[in-house]
Amino acid sequence: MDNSSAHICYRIGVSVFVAAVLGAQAATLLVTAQHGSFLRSKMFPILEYPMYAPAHYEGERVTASWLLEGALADGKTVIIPREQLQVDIFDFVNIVQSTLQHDRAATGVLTGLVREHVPGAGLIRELRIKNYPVQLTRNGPKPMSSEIVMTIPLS
Amino acid sequence: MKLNSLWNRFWFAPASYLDLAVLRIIAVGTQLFYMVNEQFSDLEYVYGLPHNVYKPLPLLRLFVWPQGLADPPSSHVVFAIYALCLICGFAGLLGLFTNASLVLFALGCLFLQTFVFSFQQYHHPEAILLLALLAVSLGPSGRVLSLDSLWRQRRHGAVEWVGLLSYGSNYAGWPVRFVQCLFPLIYLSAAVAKVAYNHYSLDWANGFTLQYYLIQDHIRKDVPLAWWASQFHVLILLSQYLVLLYQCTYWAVVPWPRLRWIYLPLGLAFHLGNYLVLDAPFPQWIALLCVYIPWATALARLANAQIAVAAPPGRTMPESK
Repeated sequence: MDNSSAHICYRIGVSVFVAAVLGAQAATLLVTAQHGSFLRSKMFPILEYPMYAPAHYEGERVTASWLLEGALADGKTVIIPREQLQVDIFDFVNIVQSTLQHDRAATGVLTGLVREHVPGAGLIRELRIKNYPVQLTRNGPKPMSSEIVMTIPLS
Repeated sequence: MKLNSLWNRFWFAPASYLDLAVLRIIAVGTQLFYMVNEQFSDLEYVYGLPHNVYKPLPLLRLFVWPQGLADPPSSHVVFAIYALCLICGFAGLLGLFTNASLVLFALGCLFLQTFVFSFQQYHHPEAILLLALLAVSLGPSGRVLSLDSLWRQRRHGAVEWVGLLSYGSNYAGWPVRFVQCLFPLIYLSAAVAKVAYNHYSLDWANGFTLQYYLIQDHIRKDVPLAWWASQFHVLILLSQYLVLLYQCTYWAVVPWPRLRWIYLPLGLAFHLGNYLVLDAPFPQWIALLCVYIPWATALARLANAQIAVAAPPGRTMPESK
């Protein structure tokens, strides 16, 4: 191997790059092992890979998405499809789930999207979030009832 | 001293320039395809989101600190970087000013992806390809199969002629090795998560978990195959054990490269299955798995392979002298 100073510098540079990236990626294993979810994308492009990791069990409700409905002053309700809000399914689920965890910013984003994109949004008095009506069984999906899990007043 | 020589022997062992050039072409080609096919619409989409969704990631803060962090960079700047990236990517693909264009391409792609992920969403397929591009950009990736090599040959003439398959150096192998080492860490991360997220148990592999995700992905992405497949509990249970075994033991490919002939087809089947049934495309991972194929060695073996020639019926072959 060439031992001129340029070559030694190059090898040191490569070694630092390789050790830093692989070391950082290996270090995420410890974070993952402690089920720390704080990392998320903060260190991108170094990521944890907990894809499809949480276990699920027989009889569970499949919370793949959420249903939205608006309650009007006269007691009638209108269904608000996700497509109407013009956000993709992953952003929609993130926003709704953060809202359910009482995240004020997410609640603001959700109500803002409803006001901006739903025709006649001014008439809606309450925004209702309902869970998805599908249950997991050994033989596949089974329909079940949907319940209101949160109500957000829209003034 | 011993550690130093072990390190050098692992990272700087003589390797073929061809293997690195193939990695360059596959990595850059895949990233260009992704940029044209998906990233342009991703960029348009995030500019349509409410501004309070924007929370710049640490790496993006580093990229944009001169202009301030409160608002996203203007769309003119971002789309100009996108266009510049495309130009550098095509130059890198063809091997024109290879290292310079690849460094710009890798950094530009890193910026664009970090920008998209600063809108509070992130996905897993992109990161490994970006890291691979960084490594490829720092290695001697344009020595063969490139316009640079033709240019050098024309300009300076040939000092000596060597076979393409045997042409190499101590620096041609490390980017390939780097990606080969990155995959096991990523698969291990996925396996550790499956155990750690479920109270350090093997509950994940209970059959119901994957049934759940099949139903979930059908609802989210409208994949009829997922809905249909979610009925087969026992098959799904077995496939979950196979996935865990694959992800936990994939690292063995690094010290025992022959195992790639088991893990590569398994990996391809695993990712193609995810693509078809769960609509979870990881094209970057599928493309990068080619890093385990020793192209130069395989082609040399193919070129030197001898085959038995059978005599036509009723005739005997003349003996060769």
